[in-house]
Amino acid sequence: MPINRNAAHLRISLLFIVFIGAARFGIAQENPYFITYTHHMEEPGSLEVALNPVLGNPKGGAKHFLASSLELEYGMNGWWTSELYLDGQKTRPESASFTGYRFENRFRLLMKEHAVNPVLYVEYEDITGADKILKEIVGFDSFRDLLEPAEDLRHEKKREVEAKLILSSNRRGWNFAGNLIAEKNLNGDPIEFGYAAGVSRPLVLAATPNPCSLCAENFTLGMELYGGLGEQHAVTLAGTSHYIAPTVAWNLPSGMTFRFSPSIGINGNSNRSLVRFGVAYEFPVIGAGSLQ
Amino acid sequence: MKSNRSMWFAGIVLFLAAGCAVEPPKAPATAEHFSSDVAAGGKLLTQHCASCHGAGAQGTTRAPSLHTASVQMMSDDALVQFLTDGDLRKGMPSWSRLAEERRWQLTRFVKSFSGAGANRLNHRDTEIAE
Repeated sequence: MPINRNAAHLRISLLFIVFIGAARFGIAQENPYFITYTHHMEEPGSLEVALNPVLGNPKGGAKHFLASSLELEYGMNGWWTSELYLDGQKTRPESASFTGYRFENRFRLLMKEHAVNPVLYVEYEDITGADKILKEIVGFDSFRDLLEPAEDLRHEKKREVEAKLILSSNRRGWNFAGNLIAEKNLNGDPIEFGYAAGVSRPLVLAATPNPCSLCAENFTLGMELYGGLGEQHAVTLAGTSHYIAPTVAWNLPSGMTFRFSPSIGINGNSNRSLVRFGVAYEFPVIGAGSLQ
Repeated sequence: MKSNRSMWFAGIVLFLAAGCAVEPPKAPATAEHFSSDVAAGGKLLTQHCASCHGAGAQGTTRAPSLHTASVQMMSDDALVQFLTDGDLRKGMPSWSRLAEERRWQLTRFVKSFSGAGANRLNHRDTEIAE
């Protein structure tokens, strides 16, 4: 029965996204990153709902898979953003499964804009070994982790705490961001390290007077680089996997944002490719505080 | 291997395209450019600010009016800086995610409520003509 329930969850998620696609509220101004975080927080009181599927093309005989996360991001106030992710995956020819949840909080440390803006990120995740979102690559994560059947990995519990130091800067229309990641499995495994870095820029910096959908000002292009940095007893690049990912975001006046990014494995331990899609919608001001 | 190489190539082309994106030439602030900026600022306000400040920026229970003297008396530079920093403790988000050019367009639109920006520009055009 859990299979039917998961399929139903997926259908409900898709219907929800289609529904909000038809609505017209405000506009999100999303950066194109899937992995790298910047210092830009969710607007206070706004809720962003996003679906982020990833198509995995592993190597070494591992099966292709489709994983997805439903993301709910809420601006608690100007310097604090909370986010909940619900993850699922389908590996051929096995059945689809819900693989757990992640709850994260981001705190902006400086209240004004600086040349470099630090943000502290704290996350708790309760997932199974079958989770294949691969949102962070840490430690010695590699394509070998996906060789075991998902049915077996489903019984492996992972309760992890993750911290990130996010450094981000805007300069002449460009955004530069770097994240240092430390992840600790509460079962007692050593702390694992990873990184993500991104650079992006809107195609056109100034807006045009007329509303438009398919115009250059609504597109942002970027590039991400991310991978593992070993663990606390062996901080190293040897044996780790790394990815490079061109990425594009399309912000529509209706408030929808579409993103696309093919991550390409760049060393022997990486998966061949991870093709990421994203659709997001922002509901502005659902929990109203006051600026007055 | 071949498809890997072509994906690399596509990625690099995409990235270079971002870097080489053609910007509209930086022209002096003529009345025509000014009105175009004001119109673009109006669009940006509808998209990013109206949910809190109201469709006409007249203020709501959530955020104050942008027609008030305290806003209209601010210098353009100060207003752009305020948009960049926000007032995070009071819930005004930082709009540094918008390119600086767009923050200037927003500022010109907001200042057009009192005609301050247009008056300054007319004065400048008169000076240039003389």
